[in-house]
Amino acid sequence: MRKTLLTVLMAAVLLALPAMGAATISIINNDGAGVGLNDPTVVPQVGTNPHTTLGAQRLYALQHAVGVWAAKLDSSVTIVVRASFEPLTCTATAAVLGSAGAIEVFRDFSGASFAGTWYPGALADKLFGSSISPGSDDIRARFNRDLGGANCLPGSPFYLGTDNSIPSGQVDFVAVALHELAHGLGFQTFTNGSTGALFAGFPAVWDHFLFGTSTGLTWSNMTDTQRAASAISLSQLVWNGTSVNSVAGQVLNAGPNFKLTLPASIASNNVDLGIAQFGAPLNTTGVLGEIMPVAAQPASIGNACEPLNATNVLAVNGKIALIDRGGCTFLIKVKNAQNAGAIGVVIANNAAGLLNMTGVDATVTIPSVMISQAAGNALKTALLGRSRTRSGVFARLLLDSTTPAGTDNFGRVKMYAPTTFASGSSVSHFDTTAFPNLLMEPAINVGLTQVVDLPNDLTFRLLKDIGW
Amino acid sequence: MKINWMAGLTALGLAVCLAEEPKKAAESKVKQGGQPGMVIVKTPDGGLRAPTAEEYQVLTGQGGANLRSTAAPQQEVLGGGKGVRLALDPAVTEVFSVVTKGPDGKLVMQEAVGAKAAERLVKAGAPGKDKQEAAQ
Repeated sequence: MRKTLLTVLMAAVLLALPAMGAATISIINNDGAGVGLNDPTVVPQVGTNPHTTLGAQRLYALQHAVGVWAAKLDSSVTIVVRASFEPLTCTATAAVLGSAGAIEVFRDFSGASFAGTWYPGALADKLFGSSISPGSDDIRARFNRDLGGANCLPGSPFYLGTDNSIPSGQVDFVAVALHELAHGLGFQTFTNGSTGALFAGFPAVWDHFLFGTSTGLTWSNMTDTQRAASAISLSQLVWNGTSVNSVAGQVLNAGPNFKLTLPASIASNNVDLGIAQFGAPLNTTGVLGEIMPVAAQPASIGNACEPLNATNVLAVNGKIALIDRGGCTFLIKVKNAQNAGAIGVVIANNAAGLLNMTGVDATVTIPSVMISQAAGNALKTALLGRSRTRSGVFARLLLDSTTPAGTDNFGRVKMYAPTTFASGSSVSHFDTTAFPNLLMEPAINVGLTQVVDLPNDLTFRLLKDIGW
Repeated sequence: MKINWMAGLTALGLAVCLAEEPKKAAESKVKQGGQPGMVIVKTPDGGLRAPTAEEYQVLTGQGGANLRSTAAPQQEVLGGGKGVRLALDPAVTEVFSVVTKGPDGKLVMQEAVGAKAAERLVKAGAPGKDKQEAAQ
């Protein structure tokens, strides 16, 4: 329950001040006396957090996260976050850190950019120009007040400093708060990704930008069946908003690309790759070479599973070897190709999907990648006219700044769509191939910077796409 | 160059709860304690892949269904160009952040929609590595 009106008003006024920016975000302290954000327990000062009581430290860290968002967002309507620290589900080895989300959604209001579309309350208010639902809060955010205590991941409390210097074993509260608040601001769909069913019969604004590359449709234009398939389509789910995609290369590093360069008729990027743990890491110069396949050898257990015979050595020496998956480890195949003089290896999968290739052998020094079965078949077709030593098909294996890590062949940022639907993670996060790590990947990874916009992150740009 | 593609495992980016395919998957779950949403199956030739739906269920004890309700909630038509309002059930629609600690002491954070899904993640227990750790 919300506290008394007096408390609410005081909290709103007092807590809004530090968060003033392009937008005003008020925190409603929803905790009772002596607990949560009001906990008077004296604690050591931590990081750049100046306070020495637990409640005040929590509040300061939350205000810091809110302030980051307030400085970026643009709205004439105050965004109200109802916040609390409560006992949430815990064990000795796992805990709910917190939860957040929009309290209400709206559709078909004046100022909405899409008709028949759900918007989270804070965004709806911004677009409408005033509070559509005066007196209602916009976002509820709860955090686990027992974290780090006995029976609740003991020894791993929230780190309440705001200096991004998180001690090992502690949980960065600011990162968690920034992430959860983003969801509350609209970084999520309300559509059921598992079944494809729209929420109460209408798409979320998110769905107008979620794009299936296999269908060429946004989620807002798909059937339930198409949406459910798209949610587990791996690299075939991308964000189709210009605010994000136009600047992705400013945030994300160059990504791996098996770039077909000649003949011109097949020139293309291929960024859907499995990456090898062994061999030379890809770099921005890359390895350019003619592609030649390794032919089947008599009595072989699998393509390139034995030392290559003279015919194959003649074919792949100085070339990029194309090898079919199967029969032995990837490491053996690449080592045999290297011994035959190949300068790189492309493994064509023999089944659907892609694998990253593991193995350890310091003597393997050439780069290798895996391509999909379909890409392999297309490449083999292009190689049909080859001689014993020449194919006329050239490619470069490289880290390519034109295809940043976490984008597709067309530079669109990929969204998380693993082949098994993961509630809460799938569809409503950036894909994990993004690098450096982004705030809104399904897991909060190391290396985050408390920055939600360029040059470190794409989260704010995505929110701009949906209307912020 | 900040990127470390040795590690090109970063490309998949999935935290690793490594199960061997296919028969040892269930056995591995017992060893690892399960890790919903963050499971990878190791192939005999040294590849890493995402689990099938069946493997995922065996490894994690859940099917990954979205708990978000699709039952028709109460919609309220507002006047004055304010459109239609719908109050959300936070227990069903909120995004929950869950952290799990592995045997190595490393913390891995994951997300779930709805309180029940979050509770399942907590009870499932041990995590794998995050994508950075997998890359090192």
